[in-house]
Amino acid sequence: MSGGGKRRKKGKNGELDLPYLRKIVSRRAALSTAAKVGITAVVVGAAAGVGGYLAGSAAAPAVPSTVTKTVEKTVTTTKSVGAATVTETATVTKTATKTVEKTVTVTGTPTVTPTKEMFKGVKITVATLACGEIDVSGVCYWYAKKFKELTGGEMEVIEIPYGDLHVKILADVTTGAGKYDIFEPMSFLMGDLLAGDYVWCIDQWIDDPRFPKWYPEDVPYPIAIQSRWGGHWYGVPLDCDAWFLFWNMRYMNKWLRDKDKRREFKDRYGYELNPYKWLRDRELTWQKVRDMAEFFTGWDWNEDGEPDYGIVMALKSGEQGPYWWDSFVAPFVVSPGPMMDRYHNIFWHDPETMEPLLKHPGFVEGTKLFYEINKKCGPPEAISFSFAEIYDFYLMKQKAMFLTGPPDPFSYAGYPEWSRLRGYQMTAPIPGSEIFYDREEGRLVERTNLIGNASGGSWHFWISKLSKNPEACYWISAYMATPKEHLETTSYKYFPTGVDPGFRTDLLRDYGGKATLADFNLPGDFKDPGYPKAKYHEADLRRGHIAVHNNYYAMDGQYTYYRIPGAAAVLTIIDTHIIGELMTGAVSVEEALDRCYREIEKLIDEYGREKLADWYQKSINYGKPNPYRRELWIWDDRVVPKDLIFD
Amino acid sequence: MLAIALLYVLSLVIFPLAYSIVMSFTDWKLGEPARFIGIRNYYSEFIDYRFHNSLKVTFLITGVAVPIEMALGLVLATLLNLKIRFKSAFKIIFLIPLFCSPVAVSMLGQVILYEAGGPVNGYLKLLGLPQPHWRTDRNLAPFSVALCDIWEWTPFCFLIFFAAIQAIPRVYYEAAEIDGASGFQIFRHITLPMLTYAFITVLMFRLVDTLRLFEIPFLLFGGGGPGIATETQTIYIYKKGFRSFLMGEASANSIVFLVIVMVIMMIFIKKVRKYYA
Repeated sequence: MSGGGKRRKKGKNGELDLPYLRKIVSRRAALSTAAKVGITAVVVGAAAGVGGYLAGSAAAPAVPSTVTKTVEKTVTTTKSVGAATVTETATVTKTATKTVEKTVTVTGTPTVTPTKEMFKGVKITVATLACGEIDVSGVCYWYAKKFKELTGGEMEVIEIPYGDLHVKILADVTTGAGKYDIFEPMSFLMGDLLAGDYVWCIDQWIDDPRFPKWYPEDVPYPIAIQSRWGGHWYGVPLDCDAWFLFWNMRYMNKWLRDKDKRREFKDRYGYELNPYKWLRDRELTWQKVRDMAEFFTGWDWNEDGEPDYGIVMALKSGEQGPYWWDSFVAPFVVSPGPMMDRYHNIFWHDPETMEPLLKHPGFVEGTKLFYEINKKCGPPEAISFSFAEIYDFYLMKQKAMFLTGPPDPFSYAGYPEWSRLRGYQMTAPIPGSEIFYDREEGRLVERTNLIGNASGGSWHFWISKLSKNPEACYWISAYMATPKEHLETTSYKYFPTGVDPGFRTDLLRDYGGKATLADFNLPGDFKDPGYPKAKYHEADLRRGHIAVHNNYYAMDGQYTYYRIPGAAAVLTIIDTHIIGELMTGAVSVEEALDRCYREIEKLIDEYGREKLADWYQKSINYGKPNPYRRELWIWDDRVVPKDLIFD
Repeated sequence: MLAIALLYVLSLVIFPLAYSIVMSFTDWKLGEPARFIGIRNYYSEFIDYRFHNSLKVTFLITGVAVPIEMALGLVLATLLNLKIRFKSAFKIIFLIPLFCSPVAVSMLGQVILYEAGGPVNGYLKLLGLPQPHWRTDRNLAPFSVALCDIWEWTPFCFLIFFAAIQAIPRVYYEAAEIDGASGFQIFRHITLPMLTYAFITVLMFRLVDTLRLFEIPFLLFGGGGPGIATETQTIYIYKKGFRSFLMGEASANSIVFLVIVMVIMMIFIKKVRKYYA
């Protein structure tokens, strides 16, 4: 079928109807579309850039300037040819030149190349999560050395445990102690930091040539909003946390090839066990994962002589359990729409009244399934598991078929000391739900709802207003976010950083990004040079990047990050009653949600309902168009065995 | 000298206490100015099920841990008072836990009580015994906390009792032996009565200390979990103050708890005085 003369079919809310598009887009159409996109991007980009310059200009004389921009656009589409799925990739490069008048205001002495004298004698302190020499704090140590080498400045790293991090940071700014120049907190602290005006707006420095250049447009919207407020940048993004679903391909594939097992699944659940097809076709839901997890629970599928489990999550109280829950229930709750209004793209509160939505049927249904899947299909010890335990349980011991969590396991999979899944790691965006609660209609709607998330800490750098050296702080923060450095950090080039990929520049070109296999020391054609030469197996890497792209750019909607003052307290309430009490069976789902509801209501009254409503509305851009724009769902036939997709 | 003492008491005892009392009548949140709200914070405490739960948890752990610590300490002290070989080595070994910080004890507890392959469950498995869910069973969790506390503080009880036993004049024992008293009779009628002061001292120290228990349940169970199963009073106050930043409510909670502890100790001291009299 020729797609040249066809128009894109749009869904109810104006988003692209992807299954339809997948069938009609031909290679020629892809090239044509890419060319149009490229030219439009150049013109709009140039105009926007000029507009930006003009908006921020001072009284300096306007001078004509020629802007030349080359846009390279890679479009990957999938179409069905008979029973097979074909992925086509087309790369189009377009260059456009436009002469415009622009005004540039330069303050100070522009110094693009750092010198060892630049920050000589300057000492800054960064407060970060305690992880030692690797992971998030390890990254700080790594860049402290670079900061010294490049600029002569010193950066001291203060490690603080997860539970105390936000307390220490807030205590520092509220008491005016000013011990820390840079904070790297979990992003839900944003509301508290901004409400008290404790951090610098960094807009003034982003385009300042004295500082390393990072590209805000390369940061996905769900991550960007964790550093933005009211159209301004306050934090420099670093980590791209989001919750994903992983599964063990070694044994999944083994049992998928076993006809008896597949028949057993079909007899038990009434449909074919077909996880790769569901993922490819945007049909992977928690309901299906529940069935699969149940199916893989209680028998020795990994052939170690002991019964195994379907799924594992880290549900230890006082840790990051709420992220497992919120990313899980989001597709039951969030109703995607083109506007950020009272009923669409909302998760936590009614934006008008601040009433928590926790007792709505979407939350009840989602939490019931969350409880059931963990109770029936997970190890009882999961209630005491933190990250290290679940990674060991899944990656090394291979005791759970599925794991949900941040993207780290797809990176860790390649490390032989931590994993036996190199080359067998499946990464998928968090599943959707087959039902969700439409608050506008007041009923549960039966439709697959895929909601992306940026759940997790997402460790970004914020600069304290109490800092005596904010420019030095911004310099190192921006340096870490430059494309080259960020790619190295997220690709675990120097050690396992725990900083997750998500910037466009981090992802492989085949999947909408700008990185190449060479950036990961991979030769291509799925040849594995082995560890330590290559940290990743190419297939694991590709699957991971596809999942990252689809999560941030191709889901039906996005869960909006919680960033009002008091968000930390609300997450503690969720942790206590849902992760703690519910999962230990102390209370029912309804009772747990009711306890959370009552305590959050009390907290809202303590903080001031009207004030919080104002903050909440601002945090979600209430009443404005939804800034999230859905892109193409990516799939690559090469990353899963073709015989295991049962069309 | 008096001025220094007065300054010390005023600045480090009276002022913080008075400041807490004043703050307990306000809606102070960290980073925001405080407003007077009367007794609202106190009223909230009395209708708050988590306040009731944390009191229950605190007294449960104290009620289990303190008697066992004292009993074990007494047994160890008595045994070490016998003529046995390697007495010094035993003394050192018994005292090691006392020098561990509660943080280290909590970390050790995490490892030892780890359910999926920890040493305790590992041995139980070898013996064919059921393996309890030390850290995930909400009913067992307070006892796991008590277990760690017992491990850490039994040596303290042992130390005091051992010193007290050593201080009992030998003549009493010699006289009893001449009169033909059995070992148990000597222990019952000489050792125990002579240890009364030591008992009172140990009990007071351990009661106050265990009622303030924080580190072990906080670190071993991620802040008083699972759920609120090991949420002691101190943890609840901490969460209110430093997680929810409701400093006014946290102050009120602290004052109420202080009063409860003071009442307990006053009753106890009154009984002791009566006993001495």
